[in-house]
Amino acid sequence: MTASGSPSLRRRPSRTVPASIVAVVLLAVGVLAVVAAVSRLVNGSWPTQVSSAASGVAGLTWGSGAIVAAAVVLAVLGLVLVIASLKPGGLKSAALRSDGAGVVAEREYVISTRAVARLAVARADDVDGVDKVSASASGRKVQVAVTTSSEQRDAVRSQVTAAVTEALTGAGITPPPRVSVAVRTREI
Amino acid sequence: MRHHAGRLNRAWLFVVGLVLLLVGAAGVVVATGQLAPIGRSAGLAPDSKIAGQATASAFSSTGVVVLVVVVGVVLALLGLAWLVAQVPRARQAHPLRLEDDPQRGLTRLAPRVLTEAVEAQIEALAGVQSASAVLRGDARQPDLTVKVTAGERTDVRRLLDAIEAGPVRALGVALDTQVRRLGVQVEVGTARRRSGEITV
Repeated sequence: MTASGSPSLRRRPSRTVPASIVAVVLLAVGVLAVVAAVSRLVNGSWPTQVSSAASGVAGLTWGSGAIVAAAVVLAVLGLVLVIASLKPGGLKSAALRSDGAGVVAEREYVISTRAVARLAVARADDVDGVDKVSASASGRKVQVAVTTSSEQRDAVRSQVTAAVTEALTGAGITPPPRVSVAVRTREI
Repeated sequence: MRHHAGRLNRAWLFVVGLVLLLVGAAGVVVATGQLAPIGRSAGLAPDSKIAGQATASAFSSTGVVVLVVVVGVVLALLGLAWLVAQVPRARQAHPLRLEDDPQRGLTRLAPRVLTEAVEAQIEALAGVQSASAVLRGDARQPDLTVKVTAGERTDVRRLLDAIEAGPVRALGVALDTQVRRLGVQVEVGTARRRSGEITV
């Protein structure tokens, strides 16, 4: 984060999905507990669903299969959450190099990995012999999958690799990502 | 470009995960009889019931029921607050105060006025499909963050230079200062421009 409070444009996953799921579960558990307890205070007895579930659980022994399974599930779930919180995760964008026009004191230019993949697809699609192309990109690697009906498989691969590498380097991506191209031949 | 609750999420995921992990591990230890030699008197042996008569009578007392209400309210509020924190926030600057001498009057300028002008100028640049901007900081040290969606054939480096030399320079001139920080996030749009293409 910068001095004025702007977040860095190159950020790691903020774990929104697991956080939202756990938050909804906490909210639901809290609301259900309040509803059941208020019902107990008003009516003098716990709701039937709560009392029957509680008596069912209370009848189990610690060594029963259901308790062992529940304990293992809880432990595994906890481990998953701890790993999700500690694992940094991949960057969703790459830095762009630019000399700029000298009108700002500090600059940060980034391109999303999705945009890098689209640039790669657009450039690969211009290469002669390419019938179909798709690409995926991570912080430092771009994988391009090409389908061709040409018999010159190796030539297509090297041309696509050169074209995509040139395009990404020309865009100023720093450090330049490693480009790997997989070519699949389609029968005519 | 926007603030996300990354640190908050990771901290609370760690806390909740650790609690679940410890509870689960304790359950496995008790269920497999590892705690039987010392836990039998406390009812923590594999053949002991989960809850005895004492637990059942505890949940019939009003004090415990009120405690359940309090714990439920706290859990629900925590969950709700955590859920609300997931909404990304722009945290745009407050209205800028432009004055040399407050005795002679004060000009307040909404940041949205400036960012709309910046967006319009960027969208007018060649190869740009759309743009959005957020202005932070203050009138003396503005901090501009831009998200620009370019076409697939756009020269990205030239576009970045054009953004800095055009709209960003104009913003600095308008505020009579240098833009302290410029952040640009480049996206690439999928819409293929067919104009200028022919098929033979």
